[in-house]
Amino acid sequence: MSSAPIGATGAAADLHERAEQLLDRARAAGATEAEVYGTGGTSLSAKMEKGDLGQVQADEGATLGLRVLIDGRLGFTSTNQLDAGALQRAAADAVAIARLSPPDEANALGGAATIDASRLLGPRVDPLLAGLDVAEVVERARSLSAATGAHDGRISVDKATVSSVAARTVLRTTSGIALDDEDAALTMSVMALAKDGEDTGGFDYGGHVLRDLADADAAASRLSARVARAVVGNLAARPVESHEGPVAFAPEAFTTAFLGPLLGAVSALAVQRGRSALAGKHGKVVAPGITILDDPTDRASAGARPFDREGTPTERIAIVQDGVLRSFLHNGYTAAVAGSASTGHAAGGPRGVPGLGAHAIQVETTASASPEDEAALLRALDRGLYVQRLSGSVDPASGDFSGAAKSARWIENGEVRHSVQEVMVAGNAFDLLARGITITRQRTRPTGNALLPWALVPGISVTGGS
Amino acid sequence: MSSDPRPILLDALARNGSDELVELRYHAKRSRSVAVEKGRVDQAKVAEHSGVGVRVLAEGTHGFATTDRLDVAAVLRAIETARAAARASAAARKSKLPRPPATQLAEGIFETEGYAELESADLEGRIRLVLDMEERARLSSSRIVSASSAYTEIFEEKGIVTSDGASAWTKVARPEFRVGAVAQEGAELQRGARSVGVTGAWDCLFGRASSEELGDQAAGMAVDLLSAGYAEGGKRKVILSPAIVGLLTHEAIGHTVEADFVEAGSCARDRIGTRVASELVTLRDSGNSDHESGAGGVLQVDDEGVPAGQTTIIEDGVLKSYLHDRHTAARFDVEPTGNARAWEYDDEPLIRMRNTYIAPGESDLDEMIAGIDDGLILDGPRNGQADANGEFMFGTLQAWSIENGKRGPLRRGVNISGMAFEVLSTVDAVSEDFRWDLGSGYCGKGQPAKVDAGGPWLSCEVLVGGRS
Repeated sequence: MSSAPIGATGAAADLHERAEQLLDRARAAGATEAEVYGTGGTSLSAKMEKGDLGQVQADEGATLGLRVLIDGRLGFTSTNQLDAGALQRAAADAVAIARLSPPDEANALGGAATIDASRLLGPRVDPLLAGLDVAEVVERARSLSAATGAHDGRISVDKATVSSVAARTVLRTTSGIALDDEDAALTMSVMALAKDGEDTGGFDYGGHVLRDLADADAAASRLSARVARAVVGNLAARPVESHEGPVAFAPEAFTTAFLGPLLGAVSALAVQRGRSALAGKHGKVVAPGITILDDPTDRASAGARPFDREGTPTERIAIVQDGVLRSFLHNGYTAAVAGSASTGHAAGGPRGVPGLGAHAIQVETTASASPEDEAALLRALDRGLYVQRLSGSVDPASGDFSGAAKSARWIENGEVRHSVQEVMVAGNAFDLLARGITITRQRTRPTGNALLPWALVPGISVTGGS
Repeated sequence: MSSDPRPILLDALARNGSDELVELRYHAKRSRSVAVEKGRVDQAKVAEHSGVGVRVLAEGTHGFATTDRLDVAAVLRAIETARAAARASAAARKSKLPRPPATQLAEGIFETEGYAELESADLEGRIRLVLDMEERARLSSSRIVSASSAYTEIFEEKGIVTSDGASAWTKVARPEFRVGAVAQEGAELQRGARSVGVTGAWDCLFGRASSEELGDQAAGMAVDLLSAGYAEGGKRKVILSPAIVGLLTHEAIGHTVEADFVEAGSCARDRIGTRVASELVTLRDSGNSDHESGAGGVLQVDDEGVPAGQTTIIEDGVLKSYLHDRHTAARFDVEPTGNARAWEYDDEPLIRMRNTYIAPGESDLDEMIAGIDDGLILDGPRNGQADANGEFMFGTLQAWSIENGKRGPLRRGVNISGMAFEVLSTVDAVSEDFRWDLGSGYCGKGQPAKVDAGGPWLSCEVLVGGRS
């Protein structure tokens, strides 16, 4: 076992054949159109708990998802049982469901499109990553846990996990799409807190995904340092008084409060279903001074991919360009409803009907006088609250957000004075973005995917516990 | 799966040729779901995910491996893989994991009510229900611009066999129904939602409110919130509905008493036997549906084969117990509490809650409201999270002012926060009513878990996030 590498073998080895068999059975069962999307592969993961090895897990498996259409009627099944009997049941169930569903003229499969072969991930899978064995995965988890704890004797590392995953993706449709790709990634996460006598600080966590093993040591070092800095900083927390004013947001908190609602509202499905506050705003200014791109061609992002869940080629698009809303996100269904083309944003796995979502977001400033980095942003804040994570809720329709500020700091004269507990922030994402917020030129990939800035936002309601 | 999976597992166990602790869990999950929004079917599916999870304790280390096949050869290969993983990594484990002490393990067949009834029902009725309820909510007001409805039923079948004596075959069915609506006036959008989830069949799912009533309530909520103002923030006196009490018990207390979090240094560490709440508070986590039928997280046997009973966490304000799996129970020198749960066959068992609640008290709700000059009534769970230090946050969909002892106007939902034990210490009244009300919810801890929570109406003080 210790010398056994992972790879897209085992259950996934003949995935394309199983997918084609399932497609044939769906056709034979009466589907007028059908799509089979499958993923399968192997993974190895090691979890450190409280500084000691918890569990080592080895998995292999594959799942196929079948979408059938009968004159616009939708049926879907998924199964991880790939024997002939299970495939027959899956096809029969999907067709039976479709016959019960009402017709929807927008339900249609797209035709085959040309995928730029140079963008496939399979040929560039890092062989070192795909060849990791148990001992190496365990050592990486142990090292991540130890490195986090080594930053300060008061740190207790609850969990550190490293997983190596190799997967194959197949897509087959009756409309002629036949796509295969492979991918391998290393994911790491760590969760910790700090204790100093009777003082227990709030926990913090972080994660990262990468495709090149050569980047792993540096990424683990950055991750452990970031989490260690956060949890030590959480000690000796004090409440602050309620007020309304500017608040600084770290990239993770910026995502929860602002980017998430905005990406939800540019979903064409949200627009078509009457739950988008940005419906009718195409071509209008929604976030002055900000450009938001989705760039799945950027291989540095864990979200990079050559085609989406429906086989539509992905491309770099501007969602917001210099503050102006330029594009809603479409999958095949919403494009059919709108009478337009898919933007390549069908999302999801084989266990559900294709959804809709961005792949690899990049947020950048177009303002002429933006602070360079986090430190400059805090100097611009001068005095106020700095929120690093937001534990709260956002109403995707209205954009109202409210939540507890986590790993929060009180800033005086542009510098951290103390940690803050029991403080809540609230506002409306769309109103605040439209009024204008300041973001840094420097950006980071906190999870290995989206490329994000720090933000300074005026007019936030802060409710303190003091 | 229509036949008992245990003979295959027991055969593999008998042939594995070692005296190590081997735990086999066949776990078949089959779900049927329908989702409709604005008259269009977004999801109509049957999903199946089944296989065997194998955990082997070798050289003081756990190895976990899976197979998607239920046959003796495949299970034996998975046992060998799990054992090899444990041995290959044992050198990295400093503190060797001892074999857990003998305990009472489940043997037999365990089937919850409603399984057979739900399984035999056809999908057509489910699709019709969801279409009708979405349409009803959408057409209920000219200000409703969008509505959605969804139904899911999950069938879980498990065979749990361990080399130290567990041999259980369990069947559980959990249906859930949700309906939502978005109302608009000018540029203003507001959302209303109602959802229910139970362990049981349809009569149980719609026992307290019919699907029509749930649809009407969701639409009414969205419309009413259009004209509602924001609540004033700050430390406020509040009355929490049973659903919000459920969030409080789950997020604020339940997570901090999960023994793995306790070992990591949660605020409940070293607090057994000490006062952590008002004496009016008795808080339990149960595999059963105590006080009212249909709790969504009913569990008869956990995923280590331990019978899932009732655990009193706080009794009359004093912390009595944590939630354990077999290994943490051994380290704390107590009996396991039956809280080891895995979401699917390829997930490892973690310490998870089941049905968590505060026991009903003796107060009358109207009298509780009458006793408050300035406060809020909070209802409609939205979401929640808790920190290891006991700081929690959760959101509500609705709030009503209490002004001079009377229920005042509707306010928009708020987020509330506080330190768990400090908030429970401010409890000054607990109503005699009781309701499970989080049965459509899922708990997230690396993997989901179907849980429920609830309780009575409860009066306490929390930090309310406000907005001018």
